[in-house]
Amino acid sequence: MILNVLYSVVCRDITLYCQRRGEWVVPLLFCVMMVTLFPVILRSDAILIAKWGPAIIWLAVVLSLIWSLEAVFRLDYQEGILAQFVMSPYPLPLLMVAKLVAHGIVIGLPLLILAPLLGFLLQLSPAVLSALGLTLLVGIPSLMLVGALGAALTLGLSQGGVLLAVVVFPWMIPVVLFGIQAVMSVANGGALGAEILLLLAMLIVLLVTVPKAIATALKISLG
Amino acid sequence: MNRFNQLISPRFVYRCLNRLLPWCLSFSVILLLLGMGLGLFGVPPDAQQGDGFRMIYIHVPAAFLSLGIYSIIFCCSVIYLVWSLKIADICAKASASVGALYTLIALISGALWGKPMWGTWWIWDARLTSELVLLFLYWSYLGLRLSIREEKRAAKAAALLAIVGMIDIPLIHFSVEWWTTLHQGATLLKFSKPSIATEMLIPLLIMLAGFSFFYGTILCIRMRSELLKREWRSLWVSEIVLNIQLNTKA
Amino acid sequence: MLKLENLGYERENKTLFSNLTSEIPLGAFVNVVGQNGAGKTSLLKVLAGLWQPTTGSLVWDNKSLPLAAPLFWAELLYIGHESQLQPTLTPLQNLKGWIALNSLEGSAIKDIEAALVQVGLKAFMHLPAEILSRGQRQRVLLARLWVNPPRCWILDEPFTALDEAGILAVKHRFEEHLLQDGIIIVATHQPLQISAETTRHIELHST
Repeated sequence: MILNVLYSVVCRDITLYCQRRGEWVVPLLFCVMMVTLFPVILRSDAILIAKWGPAIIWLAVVLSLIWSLEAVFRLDYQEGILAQFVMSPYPLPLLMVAKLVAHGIVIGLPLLILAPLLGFLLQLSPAVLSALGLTLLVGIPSLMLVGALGAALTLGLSQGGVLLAVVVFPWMIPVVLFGIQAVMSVANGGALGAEILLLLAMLIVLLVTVPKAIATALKISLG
Repeated sequence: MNRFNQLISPRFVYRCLNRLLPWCLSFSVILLLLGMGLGLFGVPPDAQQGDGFRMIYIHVPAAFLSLGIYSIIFCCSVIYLVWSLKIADICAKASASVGALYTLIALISGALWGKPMWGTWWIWDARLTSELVLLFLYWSYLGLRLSIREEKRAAKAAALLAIVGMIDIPLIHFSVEWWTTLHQGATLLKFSKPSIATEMLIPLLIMLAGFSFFYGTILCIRMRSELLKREWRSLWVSEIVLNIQLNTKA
Repeated sequence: MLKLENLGYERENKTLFSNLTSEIPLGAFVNVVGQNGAGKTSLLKVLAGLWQPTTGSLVWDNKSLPLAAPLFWAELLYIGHESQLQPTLTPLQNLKGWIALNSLEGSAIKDIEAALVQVGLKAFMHLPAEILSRGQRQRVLLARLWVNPPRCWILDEPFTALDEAGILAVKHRFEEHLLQDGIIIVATHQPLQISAETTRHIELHST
């Protein structure tokens, strides 16, 4: 029964995103712009681009993700629907995870596909591209969990995106550090080492602890 | 239970703070002056670092307290979320800006110390980077408190933020440490703590105490004004305000 | 049975209500009356368990509320002041999502469709909610009252933007529900006349 409800929440959110295309298209556009600006600034210096490209792509993905996360709760908060989520007999943390799954499908997945493509644009090696894809595959869910916690805390505030970025930034540092480190070590000729396992461990820990915190934060923000 | 309620009543806390304030202030001034005097003149220059090491007397207490104050904010946040004790929230709110200040002092003094030692203003080692992230955590705490207009929501949200941040600190320290050792390997950046001679330790402890009492002073002042602000409708606050008005008129 | 024990609420240093004590048995109708800004919405949100009271407590079925909130919410229907319809979704989709979220049994589509027909929105069932007028959106929300609703209803100004026929239909539904041992708590500007076994009036005055 609960699976039905979670499935319907996911479908509903995906429908909402499809109807409001601006919510997910604009972050993707930002990501592309930021990455393509980078070779322009560095005047196509191939060595520098190869060295810093992976980090720039990671950062562009992180920023696009943070700003898009504001929408996760905002759409339902504006219509007073979040109260219904809070009062639901089903566990609020699971409902929030369902919302994040929908957000991940609509924004996380395109970013995941976009990142190696952008890396290809920057002429990074295939090994680096696959490392980029793998680290983002594990990193994006972690970032979404942490970002959603920030979004729940800053719900409905006028400063919105900027405050969210300020609040969430320190929490994202471990994931970002390890993600970039993993890709850089591949770029320097190494293999994908322990970092990816660490990222996976972080994801599991976050998955277990953060949804409950998101539920608490929502209850605080709603009343 | 009644006795406990009496202990944490706003009026009682206010009176305690009033009595503590002059002591904290005088202790902090004395200890800071004493510590700085000893640190600058009383201790001979270090064999390796010359006079540059004297920055330790500002850097170490500030860094230690920056983390200590965050722990206090963390404890107050837990108490507030679990037992809804408003005093805990007032304490956390009052401590935050001092903590941020100390973190900034630690960073600047760390940079000033590092320049003659390592030749650059900044090193991305685990300690300094964690200190920088601690500053960001303080800023996000202050930013969140500033942005939420309703007091209760601001208090609870900030408390949750502080708790998550506290869990985040060891995680960041560990990840930055891993990152820097991978990047630079075992280079000279591994600042090993030398065993400190007793005569160097005493000014350090004095400065630590001085910084702590200074924190106490600021805490008293801010908690007092916050208490007055929140309890403005109580009789005892009106009495105090009237007294002040009478005194200033006379 | 819902019990209010010394309930009080303060917001932004203003006391909206205090020392509210009452017992609301099954089959009772509670009418919260007051002007704009008197605190009706706040009272309803506290009664619904969404906001924590500053003083006192709420007890449902002899269990105190912050802990018993999930049990209470399982039997609660809350329709607040703010619109609760996603404008880009259809009334049918909105209701379906809401019911799926709120009840453990779920409901058949035909029940929801029947409810929408009952409130006179048969033609608008599959159109996006944003084209509906304010009154029509209110009807969609109130259609919930006809689809396997839970026992306790807390409604904040449910008659806003409704026409005469709509008001009459809803009042009729209220009386039906009260006969089935339901509890209804309604906030209105003017006192509401509903025949019920037990009636309570709570009047709030803005200071």
